[in-house]
Amino acid sequence: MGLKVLLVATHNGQSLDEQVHHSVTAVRSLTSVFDVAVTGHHIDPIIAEASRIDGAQKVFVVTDLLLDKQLAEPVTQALSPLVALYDLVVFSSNTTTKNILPRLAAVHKISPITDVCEILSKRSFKRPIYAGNIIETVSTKQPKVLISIRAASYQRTPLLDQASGKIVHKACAALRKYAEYKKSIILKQDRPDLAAAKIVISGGRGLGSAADFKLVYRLADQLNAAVGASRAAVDAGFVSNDYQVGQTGKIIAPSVYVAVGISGAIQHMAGMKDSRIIVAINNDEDAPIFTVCDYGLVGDLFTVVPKMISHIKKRKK
Amino acid sequence: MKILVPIKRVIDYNVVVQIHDNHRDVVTDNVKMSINPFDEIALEEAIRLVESGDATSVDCVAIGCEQSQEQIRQALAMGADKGILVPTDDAIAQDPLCCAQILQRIATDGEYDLVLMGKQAIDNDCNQTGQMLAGLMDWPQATFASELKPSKSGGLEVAREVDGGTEVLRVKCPAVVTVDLRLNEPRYISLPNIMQAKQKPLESISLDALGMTLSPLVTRDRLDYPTPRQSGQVFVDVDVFLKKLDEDGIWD
Repeated sequence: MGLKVLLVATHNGQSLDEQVHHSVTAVRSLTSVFDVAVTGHHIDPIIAEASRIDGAQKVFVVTDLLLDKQLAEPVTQALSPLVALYDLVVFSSNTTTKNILPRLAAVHKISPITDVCEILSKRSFKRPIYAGNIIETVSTKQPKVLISIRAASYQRTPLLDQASGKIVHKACAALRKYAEYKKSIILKQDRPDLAAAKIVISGGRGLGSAADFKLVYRLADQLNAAVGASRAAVDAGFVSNDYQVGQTGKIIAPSVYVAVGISGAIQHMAGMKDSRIIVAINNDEDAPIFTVCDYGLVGDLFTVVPKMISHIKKRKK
Repeated sequence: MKILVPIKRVIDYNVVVQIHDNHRDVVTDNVKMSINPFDEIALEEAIRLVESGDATSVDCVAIGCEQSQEQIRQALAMGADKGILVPTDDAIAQDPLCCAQILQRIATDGEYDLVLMGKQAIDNDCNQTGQMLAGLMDWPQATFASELKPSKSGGLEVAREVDGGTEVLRVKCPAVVTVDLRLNEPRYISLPNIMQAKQKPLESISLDALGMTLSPLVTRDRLDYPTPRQSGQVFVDVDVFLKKLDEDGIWD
């Protein structure tokens, strides 16, 4: 009998989370066939996507009104019977997973391994610690292993054109209500998703104000790029928390990352240093960001960025 | 409402962490140690809940080496009422499941209504212990809190920072709430408070006394530095810079 692997596919209610496509790659490094689990309420489009995951054999679906908002307590209850059937259960690292996985692990008295950046074997993994400044190699003898995969460390595996996974609806025991969902404050962005974008333009404290942060949007618009921010920019109120890239924000690895007015604090670099190409614009030539960037420009961003915008506009013509 | 705040002794966030020659530990000799910043924010929030009359007391608990007493004294100086130290070796202190199991005992024995704690420790970046504790206690959880207010109907209304934005939950106590960075700014500690903190109770409870035998299920085999990025070219002339980006086809 081969290794039995379950991939838990998180989603935002509309589609699978971007990180799931990267975890598929990680799972496929261990086994070409595996099962998938999705939970939620009225999630037909997500089930359809999950059945197109390359390698998915069975797609277990648990639906219930209480699973609608993917709160940790009901999802833990819904996934618990499935966990018992597998040797390795894989999640994708994002805030939904971070909320659910440790709770699920603890109720099974399992010690999970989170934010895995490299799978060495089914029992041995690498993960970043100290804001990515150190890589820890860990191993476990637990009969059942729960891990989460750091999306920035793995390429994306595209969905198949046709469904291959067999959809299996699982009934779950009556779920108990713990926390009460009140509302979500989702700021609608007409831009590419930070986690999925090929190009990301991030702004830092150097932008000076929320009004001047618009310069970052204008550059992003020219490049069809997503917008990110340093913690300093979020703390200063230039943008909301969902823009934050870093140790405690989003960890991303786009093809091109442009840091505008970001000095490069350790905790910020933890979120972007796996990017393929890093471009930095800063007026301080000693800024740490220049030690990791591929292309740096020492200069005043208020002169440089408008020039960049008009240059790219011209180039497109 | 009785609040418990777990605090972890970590290498200060300003320190550039070095790996020990044995490739299993990090260097801690003569290195500044602090309360994990997320835990400090949890503690600040708990103290504010006492000050506003929404909570009756705040105790703090540290799991780890004897020197964690320094961080407990600091927490007492900030305003915690009582400190608890559970002395353990570092392997246990670094293991979220072991810590959650210890906290389960402390929270149960102390009859706490709310455990308020940091969402992650800045050393191992696990982001697990609070959720595990909630699972073990079978309590509701509200993680990554950026705003917390007692609701009129009882319980707490918690705004959580999530990937898509913010989510608001209402939880009834007993509950576990883990906090994010933007919840508050912890206060400075004044000298009189430091003096006063010396008189506050600090209790040490061994694993033996708790009747617990724990061993981590995940072992650390090795530590390495990540492969450093090659630093590239830095320009001062914007036109040369833009030309180079075009030539190398980075936007394509």
